Amino acid sequence: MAIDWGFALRIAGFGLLLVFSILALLIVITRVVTRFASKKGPEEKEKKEERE
Amino acid sequence: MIDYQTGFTGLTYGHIILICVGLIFIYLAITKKWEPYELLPIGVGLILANMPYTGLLLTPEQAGGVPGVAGLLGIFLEFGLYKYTVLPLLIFLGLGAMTDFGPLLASPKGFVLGAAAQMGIFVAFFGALALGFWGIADFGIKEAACIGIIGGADGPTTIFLTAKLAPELMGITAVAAYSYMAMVAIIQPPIVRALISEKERKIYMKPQLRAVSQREKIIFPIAVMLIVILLVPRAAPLVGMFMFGNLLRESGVVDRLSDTAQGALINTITIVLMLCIGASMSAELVMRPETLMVLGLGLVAFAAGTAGGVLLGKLVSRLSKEPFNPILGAAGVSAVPMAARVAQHIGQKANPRNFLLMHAMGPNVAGVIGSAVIAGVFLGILG
Repeated sequence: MAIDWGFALRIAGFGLLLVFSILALLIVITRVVTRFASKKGPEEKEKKEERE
Repeated sequence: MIDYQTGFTGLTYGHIILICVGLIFIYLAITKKWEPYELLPIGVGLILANMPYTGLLLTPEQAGGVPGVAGLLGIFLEFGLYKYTVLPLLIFLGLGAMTDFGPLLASPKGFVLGAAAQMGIFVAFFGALALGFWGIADFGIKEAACIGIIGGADGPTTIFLTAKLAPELMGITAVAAYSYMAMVAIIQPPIVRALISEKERKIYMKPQLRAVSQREKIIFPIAVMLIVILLVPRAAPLVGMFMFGNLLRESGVVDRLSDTAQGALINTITIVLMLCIGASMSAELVMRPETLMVLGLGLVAFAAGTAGGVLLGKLVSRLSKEPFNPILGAAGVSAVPMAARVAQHIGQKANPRNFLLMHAMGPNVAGVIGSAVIAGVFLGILG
């Protein structure tokens, strides 16, 4: 069967690039979500109270 | 004279072999407990599909729309898979409701490992293309994509993509995906031991991850849904259903819906979908050399995915300031939760103090997102 190897390589390259980029982007989003929505630990709470 | 035929007159060697395969699946499910929720109904579907003259596989289209003629399995196959492909998506809804993203949110490194473990998809993709190129098998680029996606170790994703791109391969790719998922504990350990030194396997990680707030768990599926679907629109059915199911679970306000999605709904759909998978393996479709090649390439995909995850795990371990056990890379293969359990088992064997299960759940669920993204890419380009 005739295979267009160039097209196949482009699909694979694009797919891998996209999956790494998206999951890396999700790391950044997770960090942002954590920063604004995570539970404050007792140490952080104490520090905040001290500052206030 | 009565015109009556028993099934015996229509039995071929192909039917008999596949009925035996069905019986083996039922045996493995019951005695070995290998993926029993999948293999038991698949085994029954296989047997039913290979009994001659039952009419069970006759689809409404084949029956010309005449009421009462189409068979039960034909109706399920036509409306659940071939025409509308709703069954794997409803399974994804249930899986989302069963998934806890807490470990991934607590340790986001898992995302990278989940991506690396998708390497196997492309190894098998090129393997299938090479077989097609050399004329060994009748595989084109669409078939290669469906064979490659077995390496995503995700049953519903495999079924969804194959039903869209190469329906004639659906039964065998699905069986390969579920069978290898059941055999993760056999496939992965030798690869992990070959690629990771004993010293690295012994690396100790604290078992406890940080507590993740409910707010984080609610924002996460919404954010993933928005971003992933905007970037890969054709992954919307999979990612949308998965994240919707997860939101039902994490919102805390729709307990009944969450319970239904992860209980009654997923159980009902599993029965129908797995029967369909078994039923899609009739002797005419399966008894050809390509079947063995799909099974072989599926195994290659699983092995290469594990190797990809492990190699990136080694890199993360080198770069990480905190101790990081590279075994966790193997859990990026998204067979949830089997791959995570395997990582835990190998880690604890190397160092009895280690308890890696929670760490391994992160890459494990990231792998589900990764394979859904790649399915979306394949669909976007080839669909």
